[in-house]
Amino acid sequence: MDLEGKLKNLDLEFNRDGLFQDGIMEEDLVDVTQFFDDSASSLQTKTIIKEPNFNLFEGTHSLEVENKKLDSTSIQLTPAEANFECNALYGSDEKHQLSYVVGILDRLVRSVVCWLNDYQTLPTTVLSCRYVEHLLLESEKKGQLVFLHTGHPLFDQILCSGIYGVCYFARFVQRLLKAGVIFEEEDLNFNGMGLNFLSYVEDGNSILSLLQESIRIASLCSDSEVLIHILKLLIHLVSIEKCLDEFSTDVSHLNALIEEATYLSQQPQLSNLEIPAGSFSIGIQRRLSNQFPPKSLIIPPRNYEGFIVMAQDLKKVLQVDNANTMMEIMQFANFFNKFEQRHVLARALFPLFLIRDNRTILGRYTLSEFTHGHLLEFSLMCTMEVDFPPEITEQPLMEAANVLFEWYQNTSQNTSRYRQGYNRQLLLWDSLQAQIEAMEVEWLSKDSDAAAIDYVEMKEGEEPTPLLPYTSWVYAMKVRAMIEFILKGFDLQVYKPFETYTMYWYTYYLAHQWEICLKKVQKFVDSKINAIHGLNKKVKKSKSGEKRELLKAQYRFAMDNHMGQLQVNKRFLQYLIVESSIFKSLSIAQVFQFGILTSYGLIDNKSPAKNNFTTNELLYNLRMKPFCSIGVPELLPYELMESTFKEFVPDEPMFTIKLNKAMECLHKELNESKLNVEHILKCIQGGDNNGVLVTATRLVKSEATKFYEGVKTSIETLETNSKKIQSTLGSKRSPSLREKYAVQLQFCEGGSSFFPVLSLTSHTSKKSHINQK
Amino acid sequence: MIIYKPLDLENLSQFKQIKKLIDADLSEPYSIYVYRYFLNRWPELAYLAFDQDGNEPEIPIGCVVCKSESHRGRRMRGYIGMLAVESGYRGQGIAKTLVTKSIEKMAKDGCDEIMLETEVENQIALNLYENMGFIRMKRMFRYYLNEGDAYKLILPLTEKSCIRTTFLQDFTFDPNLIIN
Amino acid sequence: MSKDLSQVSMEGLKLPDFVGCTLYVNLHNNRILKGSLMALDAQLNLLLDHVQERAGDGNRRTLGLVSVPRKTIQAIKVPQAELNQLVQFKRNLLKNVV
Repeated sequence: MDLEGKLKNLDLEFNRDGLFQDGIMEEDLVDVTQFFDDSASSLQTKTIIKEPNFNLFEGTHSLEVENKKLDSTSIQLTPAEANFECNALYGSDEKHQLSYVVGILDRLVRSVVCWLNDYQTLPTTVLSCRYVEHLLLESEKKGQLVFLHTGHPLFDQILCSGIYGVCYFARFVQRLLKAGVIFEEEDLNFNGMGLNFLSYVEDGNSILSLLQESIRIASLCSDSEVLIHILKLLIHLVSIEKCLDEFSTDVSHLNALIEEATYLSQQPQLSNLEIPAGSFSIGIQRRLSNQFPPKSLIIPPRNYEGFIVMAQDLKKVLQVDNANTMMEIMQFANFFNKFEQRHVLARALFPLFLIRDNRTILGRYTLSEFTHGHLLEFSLMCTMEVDFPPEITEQPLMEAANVLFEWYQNTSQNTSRYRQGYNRQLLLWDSLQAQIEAMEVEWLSKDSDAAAIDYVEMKEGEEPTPLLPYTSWVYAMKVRAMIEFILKGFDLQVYKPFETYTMYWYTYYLAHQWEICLKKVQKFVDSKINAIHGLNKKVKKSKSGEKRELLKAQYRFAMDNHMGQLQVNKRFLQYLIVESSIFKSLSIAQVFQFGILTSYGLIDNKSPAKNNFTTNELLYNLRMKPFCSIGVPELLPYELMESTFKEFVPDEPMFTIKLNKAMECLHKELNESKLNVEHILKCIQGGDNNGVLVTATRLVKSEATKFYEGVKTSIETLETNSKKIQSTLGSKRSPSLREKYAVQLQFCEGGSSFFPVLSLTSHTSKKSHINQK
Repeated sequence: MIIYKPLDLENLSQFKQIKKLIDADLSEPYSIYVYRYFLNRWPELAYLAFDQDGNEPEIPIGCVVCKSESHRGRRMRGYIGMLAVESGYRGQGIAKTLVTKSIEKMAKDGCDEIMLETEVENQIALNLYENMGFIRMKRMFRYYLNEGDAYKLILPLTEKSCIRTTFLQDFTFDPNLIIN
Repeated sequence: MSKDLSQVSMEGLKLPDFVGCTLYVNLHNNRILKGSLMALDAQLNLLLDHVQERAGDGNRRTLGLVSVPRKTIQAIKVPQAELNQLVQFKRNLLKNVV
């Protein structure tokens, strides 16, 4: 048979099982088009025919035929793109062949940065490389790595090893995503187009061997330095997996990654490399099964610096392993992602590295030990409950551990999810508090020895109150979470200017509650320290003999085992108390400023909306919704919150005197908070042996410093802003001011976004409100 | 003069014009069935603006598309899905009127709150809704993918909007209450 | 060659009966979609699920949920066997109703 005949037979053979290989042939089909058209023409225009239980909502995610934005089949490819042959040897001589291979790998590697750092999709970046698609498809068929056969090792060995390096790294990223600690689509796209990312490859070693072999071959070619650097970069990318596999804190690969990326970012010749036409395209979106709309190709810019960010952020996360105390771990989590959102891989690694699959924390503590450690470094030291047996404490510790892990995992989230995480957490802390409080009260009521209950006497002569160390810790965590939830809202610009009063008033209130709790615990710690000193005095007073030796031993034991931690706890609590004081001062300063602006008629704590759909009370209740179910600290009802407002708005009679008083209070608070911030900054810089404050920020010194420097700048800006407002408005009120000025919340350069400034803007500088879509 | 009427589903040209108005504005594409979902289920919540004195008084020059249904079985939530006004007709308060009418209708139908999402950078939309009393309840990272973050805006109409769903009664147990 | 309606019985069938059926839809450029009919409107814009596509060049792939506007449709076809089943089912239904 001739060729044409053979082809015809093939065609028939191809169709033998039907167009869709479902056994249905063309002749089995009945054309019902006319029937459909005729039936439809008699329908009412508004008719939808569907299964009664089918919710049309599902249809909102559908693709659409011949809709350019929703039909990947309509993607137009150039002939080069459509017909690209991976097994062709591109380049007329070795020099050109090398250039092409470098060009392809260079672009592919830069695509990785677009994918991860710039949140682009996988198909428009890594999967846009035709070689990636081809090799993954072919390898999956064989269940092992296959190689090109262009005839030259530049393509058949070196290029392939580079492709597999990237794919193996992508497999690691997929693993992080599957662990469920970051959000698909939002934090990372892994639309793998149904491709198998080397599940049949046991571990990175075979890939590393391939890459090493490629480096050896490459060094035999001339002018292959850049290629070798790219291959080395890939070796370091593939090695990142060790951070998770072995929880390795060996950062040599990360450092080397930084070196390679630095080198490559400085190679100007990489900007001009040609790649074979069609080697990168969006063709994969048209060829492979695809339930997503088409997305444009991402052409990566010169972005090798992206790997430096990735490596530095991963290195940072691994540093948590150096923590010596629980508070150092906690402060690490607090600050490592707070100031600037870290690279997505680092944010995914942190919770997995900290809370490990084998149910240990950093491979060192069990889950309940970890929680217990937090309690010991806060309120539990030298209490009766410290000696309670595990049978009693294990269950509450595990309950508390669950919520604590939510807290830790939340610190790793993206900036918006971080605030949302607190919304959820508040309910968890609150119900944990109720649980644990009931439990602690029960424990203590069982104990017949009244002296066994830990009491705190806040003021001399005052009735002592029980410490309840577990409950105190949960309560402190809860209130701090509430404060963070509110303040983060300013950073995300969730509040309108008119809401400033309420949110900062409430922050002040919460910070005050937090402070009361902290001081109570600190008082207790103090009493335990004093008790130990008291022991020493007793030793000195007693006569020598058995009793004295006993006291001496007791004192020795307490000094060796308790004093150190008690002192640390006292100073850490002091740091928290200073922080609460800063929050209080800044919050009340904002409240004063708001009141002053209100007295000029420039703003109000009521919504400026002019309609009857809602009321200010409903708006307040909605805003405070996350707190409405929390019993303590109690949420103020609307009327009560309203009634506090007029206290802060200077009015006649003696308006000017009251205005000046308000200004005085404002400045006093700002001055105090500035001293406190500077105090904290000094203690961060000096380290925790300063004898006054323990900040536990050894591992996050620069991040914590940045944060408090920001707060300091905010204080200074609030100060100058306040004076500016005064000089602009003077002390005469007039209705015309309203027409001239408006009030906006603005971030200030170098300031903390938790404390934006209420600044005056003139109406002419704002866009007209009337323009609509 | 601009007049406002709810969608007439029997009028195919109205359906087509809504699609045309909204598709023109969008970076995210909508299939026919997005429109079928909203407009066929809640035609009474889609308001259209017509220019009686214009060249084509029968063709809407602005529209708002909404829905309302129970939120987790605990409260009735109205949702503003789409809003568009032809460019030549902007700046006249038509969008505001469209939104107002749809909210009035949804409030009348018993909605406890109205919700919508809009891009953080869309100052015009933010001004429009916030001047009606909407407040920002949530910020969503990269909600619009490469277009950036979004705010979830809510306008509370009743007290139920202000109570966490966990603490609201599940009214799916009460057959007397309306469920969509 | 597919059959036309003169050769086949459509007795008693109405449009709603086709919901859930597997349709083979011919589009331009020799493109064919095979999927389950989920919904259709009065203008015959179809919504198909579990869609498989055979492009003009023979490339086959899965698309999932697809909206098929009437203006893109050249022909709608149903497998004979399925059609027969529908007719039979409808017959029984009507028998029981009566």
